[in-house]
Amino acid sequence: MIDLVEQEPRFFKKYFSHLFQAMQKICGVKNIEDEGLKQMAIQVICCFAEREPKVFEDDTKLLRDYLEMILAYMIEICETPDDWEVPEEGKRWRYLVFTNCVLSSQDIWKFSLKRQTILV
Amino acid sequence: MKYGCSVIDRLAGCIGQQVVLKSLAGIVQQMLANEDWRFRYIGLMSLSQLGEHVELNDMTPVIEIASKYFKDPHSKIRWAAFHIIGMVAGDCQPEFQTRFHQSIIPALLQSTEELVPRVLSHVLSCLQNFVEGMPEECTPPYIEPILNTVFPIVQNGKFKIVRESGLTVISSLAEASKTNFRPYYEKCIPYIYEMMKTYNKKEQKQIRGQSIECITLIGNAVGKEYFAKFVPEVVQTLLDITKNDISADGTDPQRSYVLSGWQRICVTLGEDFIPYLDLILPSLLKLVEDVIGNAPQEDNDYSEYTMPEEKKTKKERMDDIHRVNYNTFDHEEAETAINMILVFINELKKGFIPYVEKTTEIILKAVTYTINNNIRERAANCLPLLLEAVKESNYEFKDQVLVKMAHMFIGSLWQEVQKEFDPDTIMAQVVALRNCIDVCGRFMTQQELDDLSSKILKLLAESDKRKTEMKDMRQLDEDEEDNHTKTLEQEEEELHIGIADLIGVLFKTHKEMTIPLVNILYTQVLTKVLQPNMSDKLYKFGLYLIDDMIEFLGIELIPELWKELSQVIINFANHKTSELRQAALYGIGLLAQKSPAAFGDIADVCIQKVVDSFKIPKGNEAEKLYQYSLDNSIATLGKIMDSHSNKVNVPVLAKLWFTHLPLKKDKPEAHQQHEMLMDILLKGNASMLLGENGEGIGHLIKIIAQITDTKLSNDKIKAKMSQVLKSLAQGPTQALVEKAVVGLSELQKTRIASLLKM
Repeated sequence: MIDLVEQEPRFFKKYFSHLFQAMQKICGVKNIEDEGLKQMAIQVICCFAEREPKVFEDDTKLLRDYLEMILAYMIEICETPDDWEVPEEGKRWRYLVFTNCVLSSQDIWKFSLKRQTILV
Repeated sequence: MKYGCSVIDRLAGCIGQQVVLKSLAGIVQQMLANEDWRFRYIGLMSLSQLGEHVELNDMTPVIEIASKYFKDPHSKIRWAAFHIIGMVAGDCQPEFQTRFHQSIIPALLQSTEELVPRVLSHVLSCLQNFVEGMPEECTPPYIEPILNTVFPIVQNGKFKIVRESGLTVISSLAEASKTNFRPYYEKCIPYIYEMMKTYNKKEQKQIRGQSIECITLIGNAVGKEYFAKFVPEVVQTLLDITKNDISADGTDPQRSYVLSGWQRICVTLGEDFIPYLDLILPSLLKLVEDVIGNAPQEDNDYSEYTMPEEKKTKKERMDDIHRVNYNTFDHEEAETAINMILVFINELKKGFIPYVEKTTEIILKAVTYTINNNIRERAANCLPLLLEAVKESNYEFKDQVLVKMAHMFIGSLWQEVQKEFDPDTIMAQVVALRNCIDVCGRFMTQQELDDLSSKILKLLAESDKRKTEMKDMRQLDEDEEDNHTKTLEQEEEELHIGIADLIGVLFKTHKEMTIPLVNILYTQVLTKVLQPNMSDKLYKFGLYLIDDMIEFLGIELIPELWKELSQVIINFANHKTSELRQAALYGIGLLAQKSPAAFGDIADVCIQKVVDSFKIPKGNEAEKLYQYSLDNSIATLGKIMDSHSNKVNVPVLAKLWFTHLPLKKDKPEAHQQHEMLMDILLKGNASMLLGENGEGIGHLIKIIAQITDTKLSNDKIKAKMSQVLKSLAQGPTQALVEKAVVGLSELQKTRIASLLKM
């Protein structure tokens, strides 16, 4: 589906409300076994938005619904590990967290006079 | 969590920041009122993502929201609030720092009373991010309070994560405050040095690495005169760590800190680093030699890399380009070592002379190292620097040596360019070729130049052929992914532009000897790429070539082409694409300067084009590109005024020019124009720009306040600005100056005050 939406977004434009509702439904299911499934449902819509941004620009309700869908998913998977407040000593800790999530791969350290940044 | 944030980021990127922020703000407001901490947490985290896309003004309400949660009872909510500040500090620097330092730094310092280690460490990371983006001028009042708060945490903190984060704050503080750190470095270094020297347990490796970083950054900030007394001990300890304390498996976090530490020390000490070179360089050269010397060669295991191009199908060639290199730990080590060598040559120049021969021998092998393209690239980057080292030396026969080396380097690079399959590496090699020629100047005979020219034309033709093939393939092969071939096509076009630069340097260095090349380029290349419906990148390639012809050959060498080339430039001067407009406007400036006599005929049309270029709206392009083009519109106007003051209506042009100043991005143009502005004012033509009653003084003060101590100015301009400012700040214009200063930001006021004190 993700591939299809990326390659033929125009096809889905006509039926977008159906597509959106279907993905909304997947995200709304409680206790789903495969967590990755909800992520993929969000991904389908995001790929469409990247190809046909105008659909979202023109429809604020749609954008709001989609943002709510993403945030609800984030809340659902939000958890706090037991050692979150006081991390176990001795464990290698990757310390810098201010990274934009768009960075998909770990940046290898570069030679520069700048302070070294370790990306999580 | 991370995935959700990345989707919001992508949405902001494609739909528009304002739209997304508006919708998100409404939802988050409701979430923040929810009793369940997870809602409040996710609400805050989703906002942290937007700073990259929106202006600081739009983020101000977000910053206010975050500040309210610094003392929330839930540790994760506090963490998220600091996270927002840390992210905005990174995304909106230095504006955020300039506007908010008075409220944010005290709030963060107060928050170091935090009891939860994870949150405290985040407060410190946030402070580090904030300090890192601070303009140097803002730092003095905060150095002492930050050190007083953070240093005890580094010394006595119970948790490793907290101490590590604290140490990065001190590193960033030294880096940002530069020489302002001098009164404090003596107190800091001994303790940090102690950490560097004694922390040799396994679990201390990270913080020890950071102590190396901190100490070398402090050294860099305060300068060699101050750092000198600590250098012998620091260097010795660094050598000891390198020899004895770094595990060989590549997982030791100290490794990268040690290597970048050496480079910082080299940059700090300059030529005083030469005595230490003998202790470090031989092992680096050996490391490179071992890696590239032990590798299987082309004719055995790795033959697939050098399969003759003609035997490969198109598809195989495409696959080659995206083939993953053999990238082992050894390769990374060798790449790192070459990078260090590069820094050493660049910093020490003629001081590197004793090692040039041995280094050349090894680097030339690395240039042709088949198995890893990063190594080939880095090695290519070293070659022009080696030539520079020889050029700057006092060696008796340096001219002959230079020419010999240049031929050797160019020969080797060409050989590689022809075999190379990685577009980035070809580009690096072409740039290295360009720089080698630039360093050596005019050194080829006509025959050698003609040979090189025909090789360049062949490279251009091959690149063009590959581009056409990819285009055909994209059209024929429906299964082929669109973006993949498109990217390859774009890479070829980038290469075209790299080649244009290479040709440009031939014009620059070999002048009239390049006329045969110019004729071929004009008849066979330019006429083709400048046809209608070609891509912007090809137009850019064409315009770059023309700009270089005008700049380096001048009307005297190519009189018969001058009219045609001028016309092309004029035609592109109002193009909707900023980069093309910029290249064309720059060309008009050159026409005005390089052909004073011939410019008279086209002056009116050129001026009209420049005037119209100011009215072209930004569209969807990046701000930076648009600003570069705008800078060139202003600079071109300045150049026309300067070179043709007797033929054009100077007062009218000057007014328009002055209104659009200052330039904001293009550093060389900015220096030229800003100096010209000061010269006009100092030569007694102030009323032409400032008006009879000083109406323009407010704007002038703004220009000065904006450019002082930035890359848009330099020491010479600064001195002239100070002179202008002092003369305006007395007598009848004093009140106008004072009035203008009131409207400036705190930072800008400090700049004006410092100019008046000079």
